[in-house]
Amino acid sequence: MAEIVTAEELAREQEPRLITRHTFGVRVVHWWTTLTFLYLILSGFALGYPRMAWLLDVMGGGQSVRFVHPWVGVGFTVGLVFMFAMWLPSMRFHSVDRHWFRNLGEYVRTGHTDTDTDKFNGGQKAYYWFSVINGLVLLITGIPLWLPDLLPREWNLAARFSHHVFFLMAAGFLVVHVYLSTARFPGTFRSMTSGTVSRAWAAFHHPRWFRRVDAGREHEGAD
Amino acid sequence: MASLAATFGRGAMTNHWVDFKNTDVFLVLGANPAENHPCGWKWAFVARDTRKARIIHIDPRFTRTSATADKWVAIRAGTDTAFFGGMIKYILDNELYHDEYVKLHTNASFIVAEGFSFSDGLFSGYDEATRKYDTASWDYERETGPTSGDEGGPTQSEGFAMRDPTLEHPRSVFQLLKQHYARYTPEVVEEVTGIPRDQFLEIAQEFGATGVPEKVGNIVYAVGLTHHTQGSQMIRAAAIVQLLLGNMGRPGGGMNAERGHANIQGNTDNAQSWDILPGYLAIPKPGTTTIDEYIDTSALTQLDPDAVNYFGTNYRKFLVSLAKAWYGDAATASNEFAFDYFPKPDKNWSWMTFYDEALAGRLHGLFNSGMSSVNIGPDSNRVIRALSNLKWLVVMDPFPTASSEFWHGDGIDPASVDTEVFFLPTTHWIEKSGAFVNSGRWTQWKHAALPAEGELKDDVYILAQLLHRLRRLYQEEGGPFPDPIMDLTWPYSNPDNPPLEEVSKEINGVDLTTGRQLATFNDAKDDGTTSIGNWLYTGSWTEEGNQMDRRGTDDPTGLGFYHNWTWSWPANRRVMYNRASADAQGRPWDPTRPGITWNGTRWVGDVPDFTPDSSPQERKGAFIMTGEGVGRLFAPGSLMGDGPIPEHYEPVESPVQNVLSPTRHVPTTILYEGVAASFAEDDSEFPYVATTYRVTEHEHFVTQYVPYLVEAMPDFFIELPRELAAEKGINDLDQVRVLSKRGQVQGVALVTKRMRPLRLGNKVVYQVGIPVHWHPTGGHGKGNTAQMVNLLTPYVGDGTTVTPEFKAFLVNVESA
Amino acid sequence: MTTTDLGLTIRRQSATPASGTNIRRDHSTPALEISKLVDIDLCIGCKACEVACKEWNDLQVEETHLFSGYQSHPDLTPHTWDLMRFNEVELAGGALAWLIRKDSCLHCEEPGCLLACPAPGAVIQYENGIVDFNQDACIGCQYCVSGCPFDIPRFDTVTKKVYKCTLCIDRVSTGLEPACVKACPTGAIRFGTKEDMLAYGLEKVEKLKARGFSEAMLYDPVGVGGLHMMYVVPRGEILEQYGLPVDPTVTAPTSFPSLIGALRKVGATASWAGLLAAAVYFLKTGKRYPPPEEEAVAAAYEKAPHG
Repeated sequence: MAEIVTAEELAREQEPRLITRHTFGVRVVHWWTTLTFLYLILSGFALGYPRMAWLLDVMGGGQSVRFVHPWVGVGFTVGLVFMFAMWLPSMRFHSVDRHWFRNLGEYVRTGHTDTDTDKFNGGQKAYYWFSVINGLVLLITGIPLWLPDLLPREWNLAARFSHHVFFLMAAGFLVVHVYLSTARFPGTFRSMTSGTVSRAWAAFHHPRWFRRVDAGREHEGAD
Repeated sequence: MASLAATFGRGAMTNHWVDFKNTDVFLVLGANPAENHPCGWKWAFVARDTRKARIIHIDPRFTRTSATADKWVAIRAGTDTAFFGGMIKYILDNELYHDEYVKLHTNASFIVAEGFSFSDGLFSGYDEATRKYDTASWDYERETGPTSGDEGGPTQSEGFAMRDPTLEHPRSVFQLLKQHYARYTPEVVEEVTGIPRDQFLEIAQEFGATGVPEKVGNIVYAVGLTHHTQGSQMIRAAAIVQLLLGNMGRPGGGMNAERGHANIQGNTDNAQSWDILPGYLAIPKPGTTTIDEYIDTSALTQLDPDAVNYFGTNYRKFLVSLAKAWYGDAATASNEFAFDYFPKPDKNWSWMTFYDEALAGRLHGLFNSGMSSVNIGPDSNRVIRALSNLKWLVVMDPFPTASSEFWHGDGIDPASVDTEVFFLPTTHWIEKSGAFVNSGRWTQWKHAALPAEGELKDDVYILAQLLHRLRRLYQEEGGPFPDPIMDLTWPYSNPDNPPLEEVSKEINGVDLTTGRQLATFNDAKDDGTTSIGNWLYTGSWTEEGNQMDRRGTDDPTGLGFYHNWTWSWPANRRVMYNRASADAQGRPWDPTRPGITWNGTRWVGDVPDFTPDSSPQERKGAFIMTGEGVGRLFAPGSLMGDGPIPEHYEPVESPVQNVLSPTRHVPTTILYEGVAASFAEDDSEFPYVATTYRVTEHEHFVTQYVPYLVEAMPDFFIELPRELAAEKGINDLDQVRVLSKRGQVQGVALVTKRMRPLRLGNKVVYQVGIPVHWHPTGGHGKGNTAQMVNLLTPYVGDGTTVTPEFKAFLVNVESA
Repeated sequence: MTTTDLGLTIRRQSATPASGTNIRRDHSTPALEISKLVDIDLCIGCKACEVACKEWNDLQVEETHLFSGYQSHPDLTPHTWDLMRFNEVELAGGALAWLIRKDSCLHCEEPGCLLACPAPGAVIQYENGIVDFNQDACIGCQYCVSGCPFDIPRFDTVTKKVYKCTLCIDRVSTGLEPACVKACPTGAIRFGTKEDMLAYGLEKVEKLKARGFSEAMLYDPVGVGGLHMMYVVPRGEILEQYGLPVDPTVTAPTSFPSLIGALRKVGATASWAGLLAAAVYFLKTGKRYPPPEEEAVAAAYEKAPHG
């Protein structure tokens, strides 16, 4: 996750007027979820893909992975619940988000739209809801895989299939999420490390939120 | 077994297991071979697969045998005579009998003496006071002329029986049978047995159809027939069916008594019963002082000019040879071959009598070897009281038994039991080599599989020590009549623990002049020059070695005789009475299934049950062990103490009156002192018919010590019909109590469709099934006294053999 | 069967592509295949096979209680690989049938367990058709339990591994018959080449039909590619009452192993394609910096609703 920092960037970074975007608690929750999810993805690949089975050995042996994966899943779910609760107020869709989605093409091409984006843009909100629902599905479909005696065989098979499909989706969107928050938009990653962003970053990507923070109407980094 | 001897001459399964593959129709009754004899029963399946045989099973319960049978029908426990009586009537009425066979090989043509009669359920000669028959009137009409020429005067008692080859004579056995069984109509059969009339007729017709030369029917039975107060007569009735249908002596036919416990047949052959000597020689009666006298009362007399009467003729040779085996040089012609030494019991000394004597304080000590008094009952509470009244009890067994531990059983205060109990741990049969005689008379040598553990001793070691110590006591202290003990031969290389190989050779017999092992009992002598432990086994260990250890698998006839596989008594013969498998000219009834065939000079095929070179023109009778030379439809004289023709009576505990006669129960049943009060008179208090049995997972009581088998069939259970359970509010797997007038047991209810209510006239009777295996010391630690089924069974036995009535008694059932 | 070729090379292993090991045989001639056959017509339900199985495999004794009828255990367990199942059935017409079936691994030609197993080499299929578990490689996921159309594998909570009948591979590999076959007193459990067993089974079915069992059948379902423990079922019309699925499947295109296999391919392709796309996208578009602060702030305030 290292960032290549140019001199110019360094200058910006050193700018004293930073805005707190994510509090310490939020960052802990984020990274808790990140780490558990990374483990789940890797072990999931190891368990689900014979060609990745070598990962089982790397991760402590198949039997350990089989034992640990569901418990890490529980841990991930706990993080997800916190995430759901702490971001819920900011993740409600508004009319402005419709504008963002209409300009999705432009966003992809240029990395920007002229939407008056609040703290999170439409894509981020969508990713939030996707993650919550996906996490829920993975939890529900994971339980019968964890405890196969609970349900009839056919349900277990269906659960395994669904777990697989949703896992792939989660993994796919994770790539997008990581890419956008690191490589694509400089200044973003630090919001999850030090918790701060530059005024320019805030004003450029989240103008509506920036104005509120700037006006002191909202406590810095409410979440 | 007494009934088979009374009918055919020998008391054992007439055919053998492999021979089942030659059968067309099996009638299985009073037996559960799939459960209890699975290794033998497979041959019935072979018959079904290779010759489309049919299996008909009649049993109070739908068992594992029923599950594999073609047809099952429920019967009320203890009513088999009525069923067979109905069969006999059906066969006679519809002329299904094998006419030529019946005339040639049975006593159908024999004329019964005028004094014989039957009315109101009683045969002539009954004495109510002694509960015994005077059997003098159960005789044939005798020729009055000279019998066989020169010897003997024209006295009636020595004469041959009169015959009427047309079977028309009103007192011919054939007509008597017709007359006797006229009452056994399908309606009566239904009312007595609970078998619906149409189903009975279906079975009667199907099995009756084997009364032709090209078909063979096989009656398979076991203790489901013997364990009744009329057990011997049930078997007799079945045997009559087989004689009428011409199924005796033929491959695939026979009366096949399934014996259990690996070696019960060997037990019987070697006189484990009180009333016989080894080889089915009769036990001498008190007051008999000479062998002549003994032969006169015991050996069969020739009743027909064509009869071989092999047994009767050779009785003296066998007895003298036995005396030589037992008493050696002490048995000489001058002292009647030590005949004085032979036990001459003054009354019925069956094992049930032991406990009666113990209760009365007349018996002081008892050995249990290879059996357990308390477990095997009947009426275990009574047996426990009897054991408590002994001075000492010795139990020889690999494991503690309910008998060795009775003194601290449930509800017994050890302080109140004065009996001194000795437990002598013995080797199990797995730990020693020796012979097992299987049901089909195969005497098979087996080898020790495991070394004996710890300080276990062989039973024979303990018996040897007993002998040595008794002798020492006699030497040191003297005492009355020491001779039978002091003179007993003990010619073993290790007198302290005689090797069973040497005992086997001794049983086979030896020519005392040459020192050579005898090859056949035809070589037995009555002059004291042969020594034979059991004449039936002569040929089992010859100069060629241990014949019982042979494992040849060649079968040139393809009929499964396997003459080189082990050794089969008698004379390595595989199917007994096989002369009856051929017609008068010596031609097999069915050329595809010949037992033996006359080839012009000799009988070939199986080992002939006949003089091997006696041509058909000599017209000798096929049943060489009977005085008549034929099979007995009518068993004259004292052969069957409770009647020459089987008649149905109700078990001592029965829910109904006897439909067939006013005599409700077997009139000759021995009633021990005080037992009558322990029987339920009617079904008012104990309304359900109970029957006992075994399951395939267990072998009697011993496998309760085998963890895997306890796992396979873990709990003592009671099988109940659904309808009864519903009436009583009992659910499957509930704990239930079963009570009889004598005791109670508690187990898991198995509510099942496999037991059905029976309709007898306008009465519905429920039957309840209880297995025998569970007991206080077994169950892999889970055993308790309340699981012993024999707490329930009545203390009463068969009138002829005193075999207890384990299979039909009354109980009540309640939720526990 | 010759003792030189008992088909003991490995045909397939779980989670291992191209998992056969045999390079020796001329593959134009099919490998020798063995099979057990349970002739239910001859089975008396004595449980000798059940006990022999436990004894040979040294499986521990379990405390049991009667579970209805004569059945010793309610179900197979990690310590009971062979169980006689009993079912009392009233037939049309009122006659009674006691359906007794030896329940143990059927050694499918297309084993659902093997296809479902994610642990390489935990489930092995030999060329002779025996499907065996290698507990060393087993990760305890129990996918095989769900994957099995006959509900055979059992998970042990102590060792966290699954267990089932091995078709006595240790006996078969030395030329002996399986323990259950050896112990069967009536010859109901047979063992030989698949070919011989098929021949016996088909002939027996004809015999049963002649005896009035019009629906008698040889149970060797195509949905699992056939079995290496077949049944002769006298009353084919009530197959399910014996506890046998009428149409078990693992090989159909819609079946789970095929679906999951397809999904693996799609997933793997998509994953790599996604990563590639991200890389290409980055090369094409690079980073997007915010404008200088004043400009960005001004733009942000420009967007503010006026009024």
